[in-house]
Parts: sequence; C-alpha cells; structure tokens
Amino acid sequence: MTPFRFGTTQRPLYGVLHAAAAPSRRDTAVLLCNPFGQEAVRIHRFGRVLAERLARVGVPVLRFDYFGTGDSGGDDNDGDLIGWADDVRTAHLELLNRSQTTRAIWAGMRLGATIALGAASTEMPARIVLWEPIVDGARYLKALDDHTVRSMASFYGMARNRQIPANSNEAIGFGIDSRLRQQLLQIDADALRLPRGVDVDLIVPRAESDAKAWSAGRLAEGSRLRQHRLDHEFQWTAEEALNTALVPIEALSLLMHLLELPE
Amino acid sequence: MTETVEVFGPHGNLVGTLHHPGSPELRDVAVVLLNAGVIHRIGPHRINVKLARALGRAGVVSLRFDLSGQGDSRVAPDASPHLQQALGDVRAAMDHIAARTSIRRFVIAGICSGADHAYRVAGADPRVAGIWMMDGFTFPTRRSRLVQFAWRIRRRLREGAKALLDRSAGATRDVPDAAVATQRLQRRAAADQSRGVPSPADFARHMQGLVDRGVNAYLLYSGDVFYDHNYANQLRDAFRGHAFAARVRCDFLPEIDHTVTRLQAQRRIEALLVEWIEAWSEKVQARA
Repeated sequence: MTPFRFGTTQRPLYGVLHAAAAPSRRDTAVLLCNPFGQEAVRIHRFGRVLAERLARVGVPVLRFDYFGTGDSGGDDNDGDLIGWADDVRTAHLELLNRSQTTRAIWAGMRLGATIALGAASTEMPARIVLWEPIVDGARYLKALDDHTVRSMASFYGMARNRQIPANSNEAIGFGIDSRLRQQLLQIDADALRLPRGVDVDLIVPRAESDAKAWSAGRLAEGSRLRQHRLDHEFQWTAEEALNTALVPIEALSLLMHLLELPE
Repeated sequence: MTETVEVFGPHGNLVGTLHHPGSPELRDVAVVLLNAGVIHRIGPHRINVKLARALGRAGVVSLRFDLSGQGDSRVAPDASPHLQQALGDVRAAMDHIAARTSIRRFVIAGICSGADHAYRVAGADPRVAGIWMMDGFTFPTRRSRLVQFAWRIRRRLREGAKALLDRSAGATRDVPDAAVATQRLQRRAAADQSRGVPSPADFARHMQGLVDRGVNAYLLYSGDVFYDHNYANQLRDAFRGHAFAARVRCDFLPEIDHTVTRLQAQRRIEALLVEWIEAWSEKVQARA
C-alpha cells in the first residue's frame, strides 16, 4: 500500500496504490471513485479492504481523493463536478503508469458513480461499475439537507435552530459552493447517459430507487448494462458507523466478483 | 504552506500528512492530530484537515496521522494491545516531526477516543507540552444530573404541548425531539462506558501531575455529551479542592455537536485551538 501525491502543483491529489501482490494474467487495474462528503468518510474503510483483497488476487487498485476533498489539496468549496471528472481521468492515467497496466475498470460509488459516467470516453475506462449512482441531483441535495436537519434536530444544542436555509452552502459538514450546487441540480436521469461502447455493471438496492428506475430506461435503449441487486442496505451517511457494518460482507463480495470478472 | 504525505514509524507502517507553514517563523510546538473513533485522519467532516490548515496559517506545524491499522496505516508487525500501540504510534509521530523540523515540543489533540489517547500519552512522554481534548472523559456532578433531568422534563412538556396544538390543527408532526435527543445522548453515554474512563481520583492525580510538569491542557465539551457534562464550571465543581482544575482551560460549547458538523462550528473550533496555542507558545526561527 503506497500513499502518494500526484496531479499538479495547482491541483495536488492524494492517492493510495495497492500494487498487485500476485501475478495476474489480466492487464487490468481498478480505480475507485469516491462518493461525496460524509459518504466518502463512511466508505473509506470499505474501499481499503476492497483494494487490499483485489491486490491480493493480482488486481492493482488506486483509491484517491478528488481536489478539495479528503487528503487532497483544496478546500471544501474548491470542488466541482467538472474538475472532479478531470481528477478521475488524471487518476486513471496515474494508475496505469504506476501499475504498468494498459486498462482500468472504474468503480464509482454514489456521486462517484455519476462523476465516473461524466469522465468516461471512448479511450477510458475498459468497464464501469456503478454503485447506486446519483441520477437526480435535486433529490440528492434535498436528502443531504434533510439528513443534516434530522441530525441537528436530534442533538441537544441545536434543537431550536434546526432549519437549514435553502441553497445552503453546506451538506452534512462539508462545504458546497453555489457552482457545485448548481451542477448537482442539473443531474437529471433523462440526461444521464451511459458512455458508448463501455460495459456497465450497475449495483442497486433491493428497494425501489432512482438508480433502479434510471437503469430501466437505459436497458430499454439497448445499452450494455447489467443490473445487480445488493440485498444489504448500505447506510451511506451513518456517523461513525454506529450500529451499522463498516464493511458489509455482501457488498464486499459483490464488488469483488464484479471487479475480478474478465472483460 | 506545504502538505506532504509521510510514511513513518519503526516499521514504516504509519501514514500521515505533515502540514508545514513554510514561514521563517514557527511556533515552538507542533500539533499531533489523532483519529476520532474509526474515522481516518481527515477527521469527522474533514475537521482535522481544517484544523491543521488553520494551525498552519498561525505558524504551527502539525501532523495528522492514522494509528496502526486505521485509515491508510498498516497494522504493526509486532502489534501491541490497542492502548499501548496507540502510545507507541503517537511517540513515533513526535519522533518523525522532530526529525523533519526543529520542533521538540508537542500538543496532542483529539476528539473522543483521540482525546483519551492525548490524556494517556501526555502522562507517558515528557515532550508533550499541551493536550487538547474534545469530548474526553466526563465527570458528572449533582448539578449536572439536575440540569439533565430538568432539560428532559422541559423538552417533553414542550413536545407534549406542540403535539396537542398540532392535533387541534390537524397537522402531522415530526419525530419528537425530546425522545430522539435523549436516545442520542444515552447512546453516546453507553459508548463512553467502553472507553476505560479513569476514576475521578485517578483523573485528578494524572491531571495534577501534568499541570505540575507545566503541561497546558484544554478540555472542550460539546452539546453531545450533555448527558454527563452540561454547564460551564462543571470540571471545577467535580474536582473542587484539586488545584489542577483551576489551571486547565475548560469550555462547554452546547451549540457544537460531537462531530462538529456545521461549518460555523468548525470555524469556531479552529479559532479556539489556534488562540489557545498562541496564548502560551513562543515564536522561533524555522530550521533552514
């Protein structure tokens, strides 16, 4: 496991490379694309365990933080979807270079899945795995706001001040500036398309969800999309993973299976 | 200001980020920022990154790192029991800062379990000149129990009145704040039981020893530990007769939650930490 900084002086990024610990006949690495904010904090341990297991079976993995998030440079308000899509492409090239592979699978989680779709082109990646992508930006922002309100409402000190103003500049403890907020509001299921010529695996929860409804539309269009149901309900915004599994085995097994599949 | 990835420790298993102001003058203490619970070194809502950058702007070097096995740090090959390993890890962090800078005195800063480690490390290593403990050990008093009881009664009465009004108006209502808040506080109190809280006598003895040695201590309590700590002078009341209680800084900030969620709260915590360090540290020339 090798932590390092990459990117440019103006846009330094942080990543951790899990080099293949065993020889592999496949010339393919995996790039993990984080969700946003508290969801990224929540998924961190899961990402590490997944990366370690993949590396053990010969698949090199890069976990990284977008600019303005995690351990990368930049403040909360420096983040935006277009910049983050560029970061995915930068990380992809860094991964291929460091792992001496020529192809990569991108595994995107929540907003990371949506960002991965925006970053994909005919040149990259070889395949995409999407875990509950955000397909309705307005609903997503409302859910983040609602979570913050619920969290503050259950907290002694803030009980009298539970209102979050509209167009708030924060989401569960992370800053969102107006540019990012506008970009998120523009995420719309009808406009969100799959990249041409790229196979996509979509992980959805058992319950009805925006992602499920969106995938039905894509399947109807004849896209190269395979849908996989995850029975475990992942608590994406749980604080400190109280009462919820940090690394649920069902999710780990499914991701391992999908990411080990040969192209 | 520079932020560099650091891999250190006797086995090279620890990963951290060193924040260096890059200025010709530095403060003569460096801050070691610890994990809060299972969260990796960025801290809850990236608070450790924000604290480190605020400290950097004030000329303070800091290292936020992941304890063995957490975040991006690997488990040490000769791993010790958790508390002992944490002590060794923090010592390695101080060693590393000393090797990379001219700083030889340290503040150990942490939230929750991080605060607990700060408390223990300070007693074991003379290089620790300060400890910053947010939501560390709590010591209820008779008054704090009365305050808690009165709050619960007031909240239930308020919710009951609201429910009555809502029913009259035909409105639906949200989950009652009182019940949910009480559950949250009780859950946190229960989690605290697994932390090995020292007895009041042991805590007093430990803190007195630190203070007598010249260690600066800042204990900060959020509204989330309201169940056990809920008024401004509680620490002094709990340790009446112990000299240390008047020589440590202790703030109760009921408007701030345990994981410092709101941005305004984060800025407040940053300002308080910087202000506290500036009050007792000295400026020195950075090593060329």
